[in-house]
Amino acid sequence: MDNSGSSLKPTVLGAVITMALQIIIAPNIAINDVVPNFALLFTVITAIRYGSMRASTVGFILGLIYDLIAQGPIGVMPLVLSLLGYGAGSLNKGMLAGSLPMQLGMILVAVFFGELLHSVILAIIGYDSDFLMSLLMRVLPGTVYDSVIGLILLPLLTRGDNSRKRRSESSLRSIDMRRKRR
Amino acid sequence: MALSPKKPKKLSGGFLLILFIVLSIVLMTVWIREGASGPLHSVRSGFATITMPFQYAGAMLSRPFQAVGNLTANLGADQEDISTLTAENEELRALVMQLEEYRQENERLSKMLELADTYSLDSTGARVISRSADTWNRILTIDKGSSSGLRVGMPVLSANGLLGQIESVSQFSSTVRLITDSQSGVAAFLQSSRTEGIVSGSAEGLVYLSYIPLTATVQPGDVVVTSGAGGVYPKGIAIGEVASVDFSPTDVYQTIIIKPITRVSTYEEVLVLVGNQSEVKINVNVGSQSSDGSTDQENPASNAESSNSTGGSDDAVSGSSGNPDTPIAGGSDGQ
Repeated sequence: MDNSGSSLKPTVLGAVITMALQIIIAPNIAINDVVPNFALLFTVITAIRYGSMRASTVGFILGLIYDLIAQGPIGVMPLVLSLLGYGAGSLNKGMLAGSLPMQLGMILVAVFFGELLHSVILAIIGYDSDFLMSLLMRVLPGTVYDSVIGLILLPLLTRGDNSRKRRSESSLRSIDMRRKRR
Repeated sequence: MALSPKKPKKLSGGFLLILFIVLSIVLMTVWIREGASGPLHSVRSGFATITMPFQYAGAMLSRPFQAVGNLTANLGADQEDISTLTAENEELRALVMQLEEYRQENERLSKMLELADTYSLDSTGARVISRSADTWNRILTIDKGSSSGLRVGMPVLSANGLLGQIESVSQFSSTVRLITDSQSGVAAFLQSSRTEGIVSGSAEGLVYLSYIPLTATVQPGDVVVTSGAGGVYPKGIAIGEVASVDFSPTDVYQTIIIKPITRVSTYEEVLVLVGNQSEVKINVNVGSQSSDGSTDQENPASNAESSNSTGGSDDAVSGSSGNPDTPIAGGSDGQ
């Protein structure tokens, strides 16, 4: 499923809402210092809905903003999210089009790989000295937290899509009916 | 052969990805190599100024929910009583630690006249407007910045003890890296034995006192305070108390876990140490002595304190122009 040709408006709107959530909400809903990564989630959801090209672009931009908000090294999250967006989008195109359970599974896997890649890069550049402890205390709890939010968000978005589809189909049907009457 | 109109070239996904990877690596390299006054740090500082109102709004929005959370956590007891007693208890424990520190110092130094009081510190209050926006850093954002005279490296305290150090400053806000963060380090000593070590945070959220040799006697409950080595944190600020001690005969150092006296989640206001009154007093004295014709050598203790204090502020400034962890390195050098 590569809908990269479809309208940019929902993606831009979604990206703005995502970063607002990251700045305003995320710090206040941290559990044991584990803060949800809305930027990562939105990149994966964009990859599922629009494919690799748009997802990698969204990932790069959101990653850059995320790094500016956070206090870590700038450039790590854009790298992680653009790679993740591209990878998840490519996989989705080949294997997972349309199936909600598969997409939910993909969110779980993608979030884990995103958090893991972030941790590996931080360890490589010397920002994080204890990789194993970070894996246990940051990557795994972060994956669980992000996945739970993703599992709530994706069905909601899908339901929104379905109702929009139904509305457009019914309006098309009513137009056809009017034409036939004439 | 008929000429067909050329289609505009479309960027391929692979090309775009390579471009993003290269850009990210360039950004990382620039960020690592530049100082605190570099372009990326400046952009981050500007961004912090823009996002500050939103962070503030988030903190305001979450406050009632946090209150509800506290209420449910303490069901069965009067919330106001618990809050008052907890706060009072923490303040009293901090006071006992502080008084013990004063007593010991008084005993050791009472014979040395004209010693400047290292605890008369100038501070300014600030409100916590946000906490860390990511999992990897334990930080606070406060509502005062360079416009209020804050600088990188200044120590930040709660009413009870040490919280952390200012890491970055924008015009109207500052970021404080907490002592519980794994990137943080504070030169400290055990109040009872005066054995010096480094207090540092960790990924798992525990705070360790490192470099304490096996020969030192450490008991759970021993108080840990800042040593003043490195010149960033003033001497004698309460950090916490020893929660557990562990070592095996083959170890070089003991593994000491500290229970910090400050609970970050409960604080809405903090104190930033903007200067040391004694430093000002000493400088004034030195100035007056010079005008009388006497030399600085007449008061070596004051001179030593003065140079330490100046060194401290220099360290803090060097933190702003280079690696923010410079003061921490200074702390370890002091061991």
